[in-house]
Amino acid sequence: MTRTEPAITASDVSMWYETQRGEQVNALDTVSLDVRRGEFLSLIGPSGCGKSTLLYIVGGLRRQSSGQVSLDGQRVTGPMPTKVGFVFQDYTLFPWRTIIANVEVGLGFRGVGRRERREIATEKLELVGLRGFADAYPGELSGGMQQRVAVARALAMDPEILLMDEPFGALDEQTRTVLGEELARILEKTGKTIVFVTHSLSEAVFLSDRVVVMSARPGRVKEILAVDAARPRESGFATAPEFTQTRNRLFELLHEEVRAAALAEMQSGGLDA
Amino acid sequence: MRSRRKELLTVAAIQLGLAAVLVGLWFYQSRPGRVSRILLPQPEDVLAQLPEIVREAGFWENLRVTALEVAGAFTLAAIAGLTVGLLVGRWRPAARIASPLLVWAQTVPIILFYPICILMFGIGPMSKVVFGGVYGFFPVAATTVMALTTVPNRYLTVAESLGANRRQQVANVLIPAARPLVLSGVRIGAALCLIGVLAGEILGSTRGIGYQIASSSGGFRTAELYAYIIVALLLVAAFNIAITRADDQRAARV
Repeated sequence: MTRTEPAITASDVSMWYETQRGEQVNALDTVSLDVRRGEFLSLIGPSGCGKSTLLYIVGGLRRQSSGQVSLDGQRVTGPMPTKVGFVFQDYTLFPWRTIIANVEVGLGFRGVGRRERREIATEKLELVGLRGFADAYPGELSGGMQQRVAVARALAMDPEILLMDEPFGALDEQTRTVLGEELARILEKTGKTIVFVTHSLSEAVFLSDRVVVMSARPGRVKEILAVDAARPRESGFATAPEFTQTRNRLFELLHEEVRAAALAEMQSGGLDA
Repeated sequence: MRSRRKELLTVAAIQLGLAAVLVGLWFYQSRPGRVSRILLPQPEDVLAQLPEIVREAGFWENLRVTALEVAGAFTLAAIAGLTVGLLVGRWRPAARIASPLLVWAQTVPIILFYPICILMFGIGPMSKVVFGGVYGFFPVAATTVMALTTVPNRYLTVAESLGANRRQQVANVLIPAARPLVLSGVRIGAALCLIGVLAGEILGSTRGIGYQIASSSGGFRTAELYAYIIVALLLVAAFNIAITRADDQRAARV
């Protein structure tokens, strides 16, 4: 295993399934992608293009219909909790556990002892700036804070790869921007490889080294744009000409696909959106 | 804050007022020349009966029998209901078959099967334990199945992504997520156990508070009958308080 080897390799990954009404859906079509070690890669595309599905396949939570995914050359056949961490879109903290107990939960599954668990969890909560909320319950925290806890929960397992499925999707624009900046700050420290699914073009440009634009269903890789701006990126980057240019280019690419997706949906009656 | 307290006081005052009206009606209607004393005893006679029946030779024994029957029925209902609920609820195909059956079973008048219960388990406490237990079993099992099958999938996905095996998913996700609903099922089951045991005693028994109720009713000892009803209500209240307490304590730890 050399350091130049990609952290994630997807080759010809396709995914199809049957809906309950017996229709065949092609979610992904021969997607091939390499993600470099320590890279921040975003996936954008119209709704239903399979970007979340791709993320689940990479993380071993779903099985592709054909093709294969490897992490460090090792084939993915199921969840690898110490290698891959997930941050999901919905609020997924366990409401019956305190914040610290939520961050510890994966370590508990692995059989890590009580004291060590607490130590690691406290450190990760500190990292996301929520140490003071260790004994609160998820319901007492705002949506943005809950998602930061979810990031801490994933980081507690010390995975090399972090897969994030629209983690700030349910938040308002301002909170999302602030959290995005903070996420960038945190993750630069940890040096993780990150695949990030988002709807927000600004978020994608601001955070990513590369942005993958996916086509309307069945999802294919349409184009990959590199964002070369230096790190750490300050909030000023969001108004730089380079930012705007990349963002506009993404908008054009995506617009075509969203149009195609909307047309297809109208033709099929929009029932399987 | 103050207006909220005032509101609570007003509500309590109205509730007390309603109770006072009922007792007043009872007093009024039980005076001579109104409702017959065989049908409606005077409240002061009922009150006078209470210490009498407590002093009776078999009173504590009867109370003990009923309390033990209720405890037995509840234990049976809770253990069987939770076990069946857990086994069925964890496996979706089984849940789809069983949960409508469990819900329908609750609309069946189970009392119809009580005579069979007496034939099988005798006139003694065992038939009451079984009957009360069956009564309480269905809501416990049905809500447990429902609670387990409605746990949001995303919680299980998270656990899976964090490396939980099947057993850990059950212990750390399914059970705690289902707990609030399960507990409300247990509470309903407990109430039905009480009804089952008392009904069983009234219909056919040789001991217990329900037996005393049936016997004083049959002998037209109406004041005594009312006194035993009050004893039964006190037993119900004590049992409900115990269940709610246990519930709250568990809730506080969540």
